[in-house]
Amino acid sequence: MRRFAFAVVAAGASLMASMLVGWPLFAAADPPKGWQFLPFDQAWTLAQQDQRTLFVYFGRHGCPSCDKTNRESLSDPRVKAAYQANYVLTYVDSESGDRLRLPSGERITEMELGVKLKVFGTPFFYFLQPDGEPVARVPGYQSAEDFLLLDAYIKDGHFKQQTFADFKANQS
Amino acid sequence: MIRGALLVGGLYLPSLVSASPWTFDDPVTVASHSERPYFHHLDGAGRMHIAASSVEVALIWEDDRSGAPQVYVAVKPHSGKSFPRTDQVSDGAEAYEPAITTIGEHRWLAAWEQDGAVVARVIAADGLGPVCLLGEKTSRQVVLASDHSERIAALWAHQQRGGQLIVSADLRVEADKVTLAAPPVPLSRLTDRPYQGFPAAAWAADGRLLVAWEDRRAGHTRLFHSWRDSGQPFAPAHQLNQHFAPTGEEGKHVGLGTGVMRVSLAIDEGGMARTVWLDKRDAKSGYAVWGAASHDGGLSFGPNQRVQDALGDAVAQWHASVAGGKPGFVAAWDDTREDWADPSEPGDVLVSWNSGSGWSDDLLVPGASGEGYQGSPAVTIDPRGDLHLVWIERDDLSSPTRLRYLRGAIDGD
Repeated sequence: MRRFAFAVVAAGASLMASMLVGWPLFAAADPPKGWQFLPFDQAWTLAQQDQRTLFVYFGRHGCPSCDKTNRESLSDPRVKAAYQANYVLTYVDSESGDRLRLPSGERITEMELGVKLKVFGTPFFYFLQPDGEPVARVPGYQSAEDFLLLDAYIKDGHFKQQTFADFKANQS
Repeated sequence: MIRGALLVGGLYLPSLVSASPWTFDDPVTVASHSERPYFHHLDGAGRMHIAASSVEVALIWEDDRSGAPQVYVAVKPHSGKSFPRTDQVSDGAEAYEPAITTIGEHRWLAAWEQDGAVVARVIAADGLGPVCLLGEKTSRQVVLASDHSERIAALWAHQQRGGQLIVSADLRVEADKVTLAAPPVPLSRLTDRPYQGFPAAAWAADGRLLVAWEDRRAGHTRLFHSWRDSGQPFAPAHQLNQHFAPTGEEGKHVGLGTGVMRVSLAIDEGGMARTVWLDKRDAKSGYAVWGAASHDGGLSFGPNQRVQDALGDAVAQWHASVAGGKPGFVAAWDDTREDWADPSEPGDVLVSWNSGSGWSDDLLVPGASGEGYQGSPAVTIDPRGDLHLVWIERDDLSSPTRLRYLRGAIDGD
């Protein structure tokens, strides 16, 4: 997890910038339509059972950059196909009092999961191994191309050698 | 680390605010894991997990020591150094999000969510009263308000018609039994797609019930406040948090509003009301602690004020709680300012106080800061002016938990 600390710091500024530009009025923040996001408990159980990576999308009701992500990035059929094939998907409302159960057995709210994972803004994306170990945490708006690069970074194991920022720089 | 960065940048200023009005005792562990690790939670609406009379302090929380989440209480005389025991007060399959308030010396009223409903019971020195059903199935997020005139009210969220509405009911306590004194009334009229949640409540000095809550009907979360006289409907609601729609290029609004959540409400000895909440109007570092004050007994609230100091700006704040009393107000929360990039430093408890001249510099609470996670605080002030604080301690954000408590004795008495 430590390897992502610097990425988080750097990403904070870009998150702020991304939250200030480019969204329409009346943005809502809910899971993107047409995706198969599961409740967190169910998703984690499935990830453990199938030994697959868990993709956690932290959103917020009314979050404009979540809406932008849904409309511009997650609507891309390439992204949708890759993520539904390669990950178990779950959406967490970072202000919700709805409860979920962690693999440790601890029962907490969706908001408290955000506290645990240091979700300081939305959208915020986590890739978790089946044992719960985070392998990537990515704050802020991501383009469709970013999501596809993230998929390659996780799926092909590049996270073991380098940060996503380094991986992304090496692709250009 | 942040202080160091500010020093390098030439921005550090010496503290200009007076020292804490309290002298803190050593913390005590109220309940901790033994053979079987378990998890405590302080996550109720309004953060009403601690209450104090002139002679005792009471704590209420949820933990899963029995294998299922249940609600427990511990009571200690002010003269005692530790809590002699913990008692389970819930009696269902699962229980969550409790609240507690004092209803006289050696008497407390507790409420919580149990198996999807909201219930309450009296806790007295000679035992527990019967459990009373307040809100039927699909109810949650209960808070309590009591005052020295034996006025007691409960508010909770009730899911209905595809949404969730908050209702309020006056309660009657006779001996060890609590009952509904009148049918619950809604905070506001039913509208399409209602979503109200996480209420907070307190009695004003003139006998009005003050309330604040979250509302999602506008497509993002807003905070509202209202009040009612006994037996009357609630006054029209007014928005508590100032509206901040994100703006883009050329200052054009591009979103509905920034995030806010988990309002807490308190009255001080002089009858002034204050609220605090988590507010993400400054998006770069997550939620911060903001609040508003009422100088007319809760009829209206003034401009929003940032509660935390500038040293907290670079990190997110969580679990904001406010209490009022003889010395004014105190707010408590947790954040990671001491080492924000280090995953092994996951949080400390901080307080700020306000005696009428603005919120103080923040204080890392001695005994509730340092190694490991110390967070999710709840705070109250007893009639003497002493501060009482309860929080969760754990080695890291995944490890089993300990419930910790300390008192801050008011200076000068």
